[in-house]
Amino acid sequence: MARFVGGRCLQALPTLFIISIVVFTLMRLAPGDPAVLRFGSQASLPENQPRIEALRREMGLDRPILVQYAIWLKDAAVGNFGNSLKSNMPARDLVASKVPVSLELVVGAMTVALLIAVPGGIFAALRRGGRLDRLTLGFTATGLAIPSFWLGLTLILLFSVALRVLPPGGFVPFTVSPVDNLHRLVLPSVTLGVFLGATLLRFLRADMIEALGTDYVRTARAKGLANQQVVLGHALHNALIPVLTYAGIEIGSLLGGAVIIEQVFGWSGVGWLTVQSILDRDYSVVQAAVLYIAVALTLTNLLVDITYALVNPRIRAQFGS
Amino acid sequence: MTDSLAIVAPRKHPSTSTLVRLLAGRRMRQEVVVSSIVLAVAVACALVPNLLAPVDPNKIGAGDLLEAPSAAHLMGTDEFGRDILSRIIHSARVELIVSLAGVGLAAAIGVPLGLLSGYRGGWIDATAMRIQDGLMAFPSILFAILVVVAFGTTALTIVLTVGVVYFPRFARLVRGTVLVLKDQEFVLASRCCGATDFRIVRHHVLPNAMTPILVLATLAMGIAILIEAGLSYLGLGIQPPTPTWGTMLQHAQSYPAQAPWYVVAPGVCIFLLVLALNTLGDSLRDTLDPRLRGR
Repeated sequence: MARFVGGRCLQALPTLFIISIVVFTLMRLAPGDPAVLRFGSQASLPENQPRIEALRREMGLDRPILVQYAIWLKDAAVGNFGNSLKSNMPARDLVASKVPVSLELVVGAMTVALLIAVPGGIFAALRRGGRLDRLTLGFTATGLAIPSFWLGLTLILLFSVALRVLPPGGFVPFTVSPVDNLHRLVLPSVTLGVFLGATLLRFLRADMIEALGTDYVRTARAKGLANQQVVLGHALHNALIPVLTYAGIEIGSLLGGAVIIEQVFGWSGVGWLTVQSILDRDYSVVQAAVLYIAVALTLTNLLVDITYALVNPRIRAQFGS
Repeated sequence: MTDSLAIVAPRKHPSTSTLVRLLAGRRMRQEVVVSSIVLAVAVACALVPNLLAPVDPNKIGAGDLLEAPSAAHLMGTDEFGRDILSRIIHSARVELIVSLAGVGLAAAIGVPLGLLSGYRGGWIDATAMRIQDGLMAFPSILFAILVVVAFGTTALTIVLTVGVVYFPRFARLVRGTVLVLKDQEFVLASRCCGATDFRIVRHHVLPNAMTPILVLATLAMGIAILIEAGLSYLGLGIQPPTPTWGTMLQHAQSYPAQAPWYVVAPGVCIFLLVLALNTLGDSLRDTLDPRLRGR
């Protein structure tokens, strides 16, 4: 097992390395010299030119691109991404302050997704071909095709503008007002959860149909077990493993995928910070945020792989326990 | 030489009989017919928008500002008094061109790379896989934002973005198919007959990989439209005055109470087009995959 975990960790290293190259290269290709940007509208004044040059040297921008990358990578490895051009705070601290905000949304969306997918998937598989099955298939097709930001706007229109039962957006920390925080969490969680729920439902339905047709389920029924025990104890138990694996992988991509939803609802998480920093050309923060999301995604995939190996007897047997 | 020995690879790429199967079956036919109609309307809007649009999409003051839907303006007007229906019709061209070109580019890079990677294996495969892992570790919309910031907000950049985001998916799909096919008897027989690697890949492997490629391309077009709409919504898509559904939504969100139709109309169009493409992709896969046929 240690060999499997070690091997998987080693496989993640080149991926992280490539991510760092992509982020660094794209940000260097973006228009605007960071040293000039720091001076803002004062950059064109002749007396500022020597200061800009000095700042470029200080930031290492006068060095060859490979040297710049090596320095950036060395600093990034210890979490130093420089200071924000806008607030002058360390980019790392800015991103770190937004992580709990995004995680709260991820937890909310995952809860909604599982509440949709688990009962929906079970009932659709049990009533395969029936009205309920067709209804869930219609829901999954809709959930996968609907643009999430438009769904968000429509929910705001319905629940905030027309019915006035939920706030249209904004973030209030849980420590300040738990009730307000949860109220504001509902619409963004539902918006993100619908897409994920549709995907998970599709997976679970297919896995449940397969599990219900297996010999061990037939044996369980032949032994005279109650239907509930067969479905929940035998079929669901096995069908849930791949679904939870997929849900785990999605936690990472939800952190990035929430970019637009956080914008729609003014939910000030990592995605919101990334977009604001891009619009402000605050590259240190963009690099820190994007790298954080990509690393979170890679590490989540790694953890999911390891967990899957731990619960899957075939892999355990292959590598020895 | 190989042809004279009558070694015939089981070609599975779509043919007339496939289309017949696609349209056969009561339930399948309904879905496919409705989706095809939606797609045909979008294509018609893209081809002849001037014939279909009631007025010039950029004509300011064609109606009152934020006018509700009426006989004169079926979907109402926007904040500049422009006709929303005309803007929606003209947007279809951008949406279809960007998604088609983006997915075409992704396939043009991904398919040869997948063929090479799967057929050759070794260090080529290992390197290609790691690069693809790195690119796939980015959520697609985030990667799209980065590319657009680096290269600017033009239609070409968005096409490039979709191409780069999606080529690893094509490469992986083709690689997986090639790994299965390259040890099949018809490929081995062809090799025994002295066929070159290029001939084997061109005549035996690629035709058999066409079905999953076509299905992925259909589904990827839907995702490409969602990426373009997402970028436009963030103000990073194709810039005004060219109308796109995403840009319309970005502007519409400032007037949810005054003009709800403005929020609803472009969103419904994105939804219907993506739904049609997904349904066609799913139906195509169900029809072409013998394991799923009849389910």
